[in-house]
Amino acid sequence: MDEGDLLVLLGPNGAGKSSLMSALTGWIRPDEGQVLLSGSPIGSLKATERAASLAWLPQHTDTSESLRVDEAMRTARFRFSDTAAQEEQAITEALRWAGMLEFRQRDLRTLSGGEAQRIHLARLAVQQAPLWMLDEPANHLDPRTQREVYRLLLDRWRAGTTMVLITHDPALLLASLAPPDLPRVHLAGMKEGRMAWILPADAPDLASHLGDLYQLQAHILQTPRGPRLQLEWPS
Amino acid sequence: MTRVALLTLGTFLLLAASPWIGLTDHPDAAPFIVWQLRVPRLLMALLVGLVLGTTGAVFQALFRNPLATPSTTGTTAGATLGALAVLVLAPGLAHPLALAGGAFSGAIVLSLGVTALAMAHGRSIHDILLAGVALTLGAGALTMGLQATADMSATFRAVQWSLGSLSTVGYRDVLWFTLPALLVWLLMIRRSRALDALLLGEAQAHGVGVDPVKLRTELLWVGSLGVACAVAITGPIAFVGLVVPHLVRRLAPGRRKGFIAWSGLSAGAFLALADLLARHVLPGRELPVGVMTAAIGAPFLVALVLRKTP
Repeated sequence: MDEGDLLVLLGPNGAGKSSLMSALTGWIRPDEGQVLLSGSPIGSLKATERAASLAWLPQHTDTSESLRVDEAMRTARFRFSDTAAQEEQAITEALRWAGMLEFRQRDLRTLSGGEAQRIHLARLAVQQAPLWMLDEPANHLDPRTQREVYRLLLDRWRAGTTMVLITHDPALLLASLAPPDLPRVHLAGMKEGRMAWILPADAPDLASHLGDLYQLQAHILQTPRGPRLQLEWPS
Repeated sequence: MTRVALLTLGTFLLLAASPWIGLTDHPDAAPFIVWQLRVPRLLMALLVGLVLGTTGAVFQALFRNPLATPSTTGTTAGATLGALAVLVLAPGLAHPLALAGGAFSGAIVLSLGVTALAMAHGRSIHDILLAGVALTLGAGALTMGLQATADMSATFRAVQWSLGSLSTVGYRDVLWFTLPALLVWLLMIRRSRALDALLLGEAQAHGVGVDPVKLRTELLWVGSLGVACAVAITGPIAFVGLVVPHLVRRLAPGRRKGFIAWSGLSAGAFLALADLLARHVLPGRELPVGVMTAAIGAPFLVALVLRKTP
């Protein structure tokens, strides 16, 4: 991947998307091959060095412990050794970006799913890493909140953040992209632990590849607001 | 954390005056009672409480389990077995140091067996918890087996020892224990930021730059060593490390800044207060301090859990 890329990992459950992402973040060691981050093997970096380049939002978050939003934000500043004022400022900026400023004193456990997800995005932002990896960031959210999550993420990507994203909703992704974005977004289809294909979002044969990937019929309709994807049972 | 701090510091003030309670009957013996008996005992209670409270707070966060205690790594069960083994197998060794040595060896063998697991990558923290519980039960069975075959006096002494007591400590114990206790406390405070990152899960902690395997290995070794030292001197004192971190959490919900530090300090105050009550609640008799910590701590915790959090 190059700086500024957006790579979207797609594929059925169990295809290996999350395992690939875990290896890319250095959380698990790959059996074969290696992951290079700016030229260095990811396992050779100190944890804080790695976190300076790469922020990760895993699929699951533990919320068994009562934790205030501002304290949860502080944990994402672990790699910094900044003063209280610097930390405060960075946290305020990130919460403002996510539209969550007035939630800073709240307990994370009292937030709705959508609010909590915005806090997790703000945690990624406050870590100030140029590369983000997100595992199904819009899962379990209502349709409007899903779109808000994608809008926040894509704004960030357009501003220069490199991203790897796992999703089960390529239709939502395509609907969130503006036409000029399309050639710069790459979709990777994964099947049975292997990367089956990588295509730009405006590839003419994208529909047939997606249909094949999910074993459904896929249509891409060209509309004035951009391409729209439909998946349905084969007739 | 302000409420916790005020409560703890208030208790410290009360405790500072406590060695002079009820001395008017024996004016001649007063200096000896105060300086040779009560002050070292108070200091020891503060230090042991410091280690138990700090370790309890850290282990609960590390295992992400509210039932984790300083004994979760098998420390207490190992110590009890070690002490009993000395009493039963070498009854001639009446020296208190032999008992402490047996307890310490048992605590170290068991807890290091459990914590060694923590170094393996890909080993879940719940495996370590499970190993701790299994070894604790195993050591408990061996302890009961030893008791069944031992004579009455050895069994009686072992049961007494296992209730935990601060009544026999002197300045030598305090001197010996001060350095490890403060080291445990300071090291765990230093790691509190990394530990906070762990609250959202090990993968999340990895993402923000914490090495969870290194962190848990270090904290489990340090905590187990500290608790092993404490148990060797005073016997196992239950409940402090379980209850006090929960009390602190309830008084300052959602706050992590200062949580580890104040859990340790308030556990020191709690244990010293419990020891004070254990000595004075029955006229002319002393209760084991472990009975007192449970008697105060259990209802207090139940009340706090039942009260709706704001």
